Amino acid sequence: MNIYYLRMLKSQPLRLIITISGISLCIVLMLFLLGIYKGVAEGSVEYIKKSNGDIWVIQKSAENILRGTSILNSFQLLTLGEDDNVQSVSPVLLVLSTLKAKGKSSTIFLCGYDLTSKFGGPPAIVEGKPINKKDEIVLDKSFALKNKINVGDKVTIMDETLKVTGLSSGTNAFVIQYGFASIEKVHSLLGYNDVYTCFILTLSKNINPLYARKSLQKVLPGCSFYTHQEFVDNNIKEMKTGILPMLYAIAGISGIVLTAILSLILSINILEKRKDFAVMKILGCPESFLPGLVFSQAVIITLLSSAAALILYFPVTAIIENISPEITVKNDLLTSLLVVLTALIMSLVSSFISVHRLRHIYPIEVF
Amino acid sequence: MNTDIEKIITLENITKLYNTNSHESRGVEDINICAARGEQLLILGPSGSGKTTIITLCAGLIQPTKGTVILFGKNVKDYSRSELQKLRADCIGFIFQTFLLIDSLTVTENIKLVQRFSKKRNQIPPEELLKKFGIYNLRNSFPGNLSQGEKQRAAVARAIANDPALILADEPTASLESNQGFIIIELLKKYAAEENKCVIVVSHDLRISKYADRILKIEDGKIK
Repeated sequence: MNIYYLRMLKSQPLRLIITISGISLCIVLMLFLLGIYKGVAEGSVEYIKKSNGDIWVIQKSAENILRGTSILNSFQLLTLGEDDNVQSVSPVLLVLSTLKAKGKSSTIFLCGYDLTSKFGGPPAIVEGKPINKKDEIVLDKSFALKNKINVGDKVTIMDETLKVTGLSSGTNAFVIQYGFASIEKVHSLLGYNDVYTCFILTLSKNINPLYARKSLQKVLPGCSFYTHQEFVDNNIKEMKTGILPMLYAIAGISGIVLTAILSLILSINILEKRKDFAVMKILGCPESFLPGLVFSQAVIITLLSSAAALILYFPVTAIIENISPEITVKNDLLTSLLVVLTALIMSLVSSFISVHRLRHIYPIEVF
Repeated sequence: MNTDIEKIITLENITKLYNTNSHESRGVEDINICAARGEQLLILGPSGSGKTTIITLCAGLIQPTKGTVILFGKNVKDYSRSELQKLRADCIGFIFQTFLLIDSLTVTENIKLVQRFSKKRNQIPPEELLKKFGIYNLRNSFPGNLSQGEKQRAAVARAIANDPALILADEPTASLESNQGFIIIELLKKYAAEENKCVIVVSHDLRISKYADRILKIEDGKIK
């Protein structure tokens, strides 16, 4: 008949609703941050993952293209193309550019790629078609949504006009989105023809990538060579070190707020029911009974808040994604369960913080 | 502890001093009280005479400054904290001046709560207790919806729910009209006699003297 904790909660319905709202928003925030992280983790490297070459070549000492500078030249491109281990070399040039459309300027990560081999191009076209001509461009879908650009619209980069032929997915790196044009176009925009960011190599048949890398390193000591998986991992690592600490910090603050709200409410409940607790002590309640009440309340509040958070989460996320299309949120069941588990652990911490007040309730207070 | 003994409680040469803000005040001084099964002992005295100190001493809620409290054949000082908690849960029933029913529980749940604390088997079903005190129809009511008389009946039902050998009643008639107060005192006397239990009532109400088997008068912390 341990329904006392339920009755205590029900006796203050408004407070219960406010508490559940506060805690569920904290849980929504944690889910949201993890969702952003997953969205960023996938979005940032999706482009690299789908550009499925055997070996990536970048400037020596550079490890990734997300936050690294790599400048390669035509000599290196030709040298690699002449190597027996290499079947094809696809150059890629990435430059931060200002795109103007409908009177608005936005920054885009412009990616020039070889239209023949198509390596380094958009991983998936979700609307429209890929580019075929020099004066065409494919934009990231969320970038287009944010800037209200449609397929067929004209955009301007460095005073040159390009026609939007399609929209891509898997090209949203959270803080920046990709746009794709022919490498010739990007060269002409830049005003330099002898510059590349990286090369994507396809190796000749039956050539082991590790063997090829060793051999190529001797030929071009000024370059770094990574297998496809190594390069994907490097970029994931870079993304994690760049963004994760910030997300963790906010998620941590959210967890602390959750614990503080719950501790406060539990403490207030204890103080308000001080007389009841003192009576129970006189009546001989076992020592574990009153802390059990507090723990039960904390768990019930957290479970109700978690349920409310899971219900709230999807519409809230949809609204945010609608307002800011560049924010891509992805969640799975495991992540959601992890957040609920974290909230439950926090609720137990809150209980521990509050329970010590019980020790200061003395039975003789009621006389 | 031996709950079958005749002498339920003995207070021998008890003095209780309270220290508050470096000021020492006297609760009771050199008092001797003994209560046995089957009797209703009334401790009469005005406000501030030390009645509540006696009740809390009898319940093992406070320790005397001097003297010995023998509860169920054992010195209270020799009980551990958990033993005292178990003793209160199994062997002592409480009736408070302002009833102190748990407001968020129904009358039945208030009784069940005490029975839950006690590990005794074969406890009287709450419904039976409520019928006995004529408040069965109020079993699902919350204390806030009861009259003072109904609350007191519920409080008495709760006090005997764990079939205690000792009932401690603190000013049980203070919040009641005289007629209702007498009914409660009569119920307690009947309980003491028929069930062979010990009932200790502390009160300032002289009108209930006729219902007591024995009366002790207390004034300024001393038994007169």
